[in-house]
Amino acid sequence: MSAEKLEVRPTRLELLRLRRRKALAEGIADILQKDLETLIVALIKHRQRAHTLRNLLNEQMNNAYSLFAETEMIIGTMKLREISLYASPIEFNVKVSTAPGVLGIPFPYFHCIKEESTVHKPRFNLIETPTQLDEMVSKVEDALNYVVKLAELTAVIREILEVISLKRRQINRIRFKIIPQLEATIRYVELILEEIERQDAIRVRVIQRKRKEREVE
Amino acid sequence: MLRDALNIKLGGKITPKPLRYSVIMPRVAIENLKLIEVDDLISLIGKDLETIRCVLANSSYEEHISALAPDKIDSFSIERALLQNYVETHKKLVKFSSGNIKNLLLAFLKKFEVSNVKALLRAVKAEIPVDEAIRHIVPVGSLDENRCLSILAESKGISDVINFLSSLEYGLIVKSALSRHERIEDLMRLEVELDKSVYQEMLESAERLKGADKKISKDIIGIELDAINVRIILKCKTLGITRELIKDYLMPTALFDEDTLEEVTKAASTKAMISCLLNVAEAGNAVYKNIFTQMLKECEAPLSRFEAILDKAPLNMSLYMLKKHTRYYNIGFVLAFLNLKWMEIKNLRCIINGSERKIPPSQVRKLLVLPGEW
Repeated sequence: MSAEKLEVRPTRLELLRLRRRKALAEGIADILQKDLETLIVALIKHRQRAHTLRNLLNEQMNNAYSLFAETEMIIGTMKLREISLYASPIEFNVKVSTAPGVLGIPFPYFHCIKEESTVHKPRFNLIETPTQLDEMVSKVEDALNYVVKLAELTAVIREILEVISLKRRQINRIRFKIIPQLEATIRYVELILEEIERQDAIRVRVIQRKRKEREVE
Repeated sequence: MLRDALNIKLGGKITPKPLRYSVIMPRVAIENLKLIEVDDLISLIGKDLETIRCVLANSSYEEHISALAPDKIDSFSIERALLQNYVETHKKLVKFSSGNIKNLLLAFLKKFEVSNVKALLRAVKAEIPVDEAIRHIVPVGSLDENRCLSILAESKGISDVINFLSSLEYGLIVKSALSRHERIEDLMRLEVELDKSVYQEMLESAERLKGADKKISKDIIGIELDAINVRIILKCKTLGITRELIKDYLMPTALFDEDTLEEVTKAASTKAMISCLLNVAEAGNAVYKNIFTQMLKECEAPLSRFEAILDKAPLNMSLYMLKKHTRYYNIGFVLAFLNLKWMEIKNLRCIINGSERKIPPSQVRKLLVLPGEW
């Protein structure tokens, strides 16, 4: 596939300028390629962290469900449903901010803020509920932290993927559009300049021949 | 002395002690025979709900289990049927008893009545539909189904429920609790006051008995209260609740008096707490010593293990009382049966829920409360 050449004046100065632009484009492509590699390494690391976190979350939720099932077995479905009617939900909020990450890209940062009252009070009736229910709540609260961190990692991974995609597009544009275009233009300008040189040389030779003929006459 | 031990003055005339038990004892013996054998109970672990339903339909639970629609069998409906059976059995014993024994059994039954009051308060607070809310209630005593339905249908908030209950003793208890704690939303405070009142009444009813009956019933109720108070302290300490607040949640005291419990709340570690309790338990009977010696041995165990040990305390005490006193003509046999029946229902509930949730049999087995060597 031949690249379209740029509309330039075929001058030597333009040729120099085009060559400089080509060198610059190649340099930029190399830098972008290195950025891309760094981003891919960061992506792999974040993906591994997300995988570990997902496993931890799974484990935590399994423990919580297991404790919930134990509670249900101890106090029964009726009592558990009844207790759930008045149990206050876990109050929490997620604070979102950004922090510079790899290559200075602003990465999202999620922070789970739990609204804890100043006075510690039992959540459930102390006589009716077994300790498994409180342990379950504690596990779910921990799981909530994991969920928020996992959401943060997912957002970071999405951000990295977007930047990778952008960088890849930039590299492709430089490598497969700008550089071939510059190369085509350089070749065109070189051809024109060679043609001009050849014409000039012929013209010089004709003039020289005519001058010699005049001298002979 | 002999007259005291054998006779009771009832309604102005002297009733010989064996006569007081002549009607209730055969009834308890019959009901006792209807209890499911522990081995049969264990064999139900891991069975599907339909199999369990069939087994229960051929037991003392027949009447309530048969009333369930076969296509709507789930843990909730079976559990409700079991509780209805317990309440009916309890009511039967009340019917066949008299005098102070009847009063004590009625006081025991009030635990269910209070449970219904709590269910009413919770349902109204959660604003759930009436037909859904009534499923959480097993009608008993003054709170029959119609009364519960009318309270649920006409109450817009907790204050309405309290007004409806004002004709009952619970209304007064809740109102006095509210006068002390300004926030009506804090149901926990109201629930604690209701629980305290029930246990107080149980203690007072036991106090009105005489001779061995008084000692047996006080010991059985006492160990239940002590176990509850120890559980509350252990749990509150784990949750980081302050000493001042723990005091509010404690039930009436028995062997472990307020000073002992205060000392326990000050203890730095679980081991220190249990050691402190064991020192006092030495003054009690063998059941207390066994429980707290076992807890001290397992002081590194999780709180759930302590709760399992403490949950068994009333049953152990009942069985101990059966061994210590003659089987007949005392309240021990009646209370032991009630505790055994309650444990059976708890175990069935555990097995049913385990089956529904496909919990491994070994895990279900661990959560069963079984007497003695099982």
